[in-house]
Amino acid sequence: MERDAALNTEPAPWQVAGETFRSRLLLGTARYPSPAVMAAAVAASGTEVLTVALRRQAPGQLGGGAIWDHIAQLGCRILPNTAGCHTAQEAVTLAQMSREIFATDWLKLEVTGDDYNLQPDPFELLEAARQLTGMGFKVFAYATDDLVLCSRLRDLGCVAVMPWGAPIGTGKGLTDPYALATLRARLPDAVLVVDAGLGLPSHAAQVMELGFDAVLLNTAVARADDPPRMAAGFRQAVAAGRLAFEAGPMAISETAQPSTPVVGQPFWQAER
Amino acid sequence: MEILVNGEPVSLDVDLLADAVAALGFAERQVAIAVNEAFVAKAEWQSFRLQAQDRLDVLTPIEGG
Repeated sequence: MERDAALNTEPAPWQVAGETFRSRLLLGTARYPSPAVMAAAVAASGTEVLTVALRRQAPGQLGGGAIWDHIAQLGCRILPNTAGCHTAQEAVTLAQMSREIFATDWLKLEVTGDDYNLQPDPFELLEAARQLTGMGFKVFAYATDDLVLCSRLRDLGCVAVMPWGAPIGTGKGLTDPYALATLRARLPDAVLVVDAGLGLPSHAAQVMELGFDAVLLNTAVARADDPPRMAAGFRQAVAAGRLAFEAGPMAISETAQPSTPVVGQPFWQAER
Repeated sequence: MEILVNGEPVSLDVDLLADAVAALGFAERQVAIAVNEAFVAKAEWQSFRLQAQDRLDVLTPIEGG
């Protein structure tokens, strides 16, 4: 009996790009105080997918090889990004370089249209997604929460569409829950991941309660005072939110409804 | 000939990209290369001929969000 009860408290696994995962939390590897803290946060988060990047290597410098070796040892699926690209052509070139270095078709596609809030460029993003899906990449497309844009990305064959909760690194939480709820309702069969802008575990729980498949975050954990503890908090919040979605929430009522049965109520001698 | 490596001018006495990679000290490192913003797969380095003023981007893995 105890075993069955324990199984029922685990959220259902999810699938993306033909693979199955138990954790619905994808984690970034940047901005941690140290590689050791990052490793501890990764372990505490329970994540199975880590994001990474490529940058220029100066001649004669050791550069990022050491941190990559550290990340590779953590045993997670690697999701390389195209952060910093501003055009489809840049993103396609960087994607090809990522595929060679990381030996994966997985790609978190980012094409920035505005440097002030790192807002994705919908036009370049769509063109990049069109080319990359045609080249066999498994594209996780980082997008705004625009319904039409996300629909087009789904139609192009992106394995996951990842609308922002708020601009990258802001920690604001969901600036437009209605838009996200609409996305979930209108794209019921798409893999939807909220990526960026989350600051607290409650934000992640809110995402999962909306029925999103997963969340992707980085700064909220990396820049917490205690990243491993915050990672653990997000792990539990993601699971809690998903369980709530799977359980099906109660209907909201405009008026109070007594939870304790009223039949047999003492001291009711007269109508009030 | 002079080429640009990650934005910096470098003079090299080589013709092939593979030789440039070795001369720059990248041969044993995990890098990916684009020449003039176009990806050049590692399998092509031995046959890819560089021209003066070519722009090389030599990238290596780092942390990312």
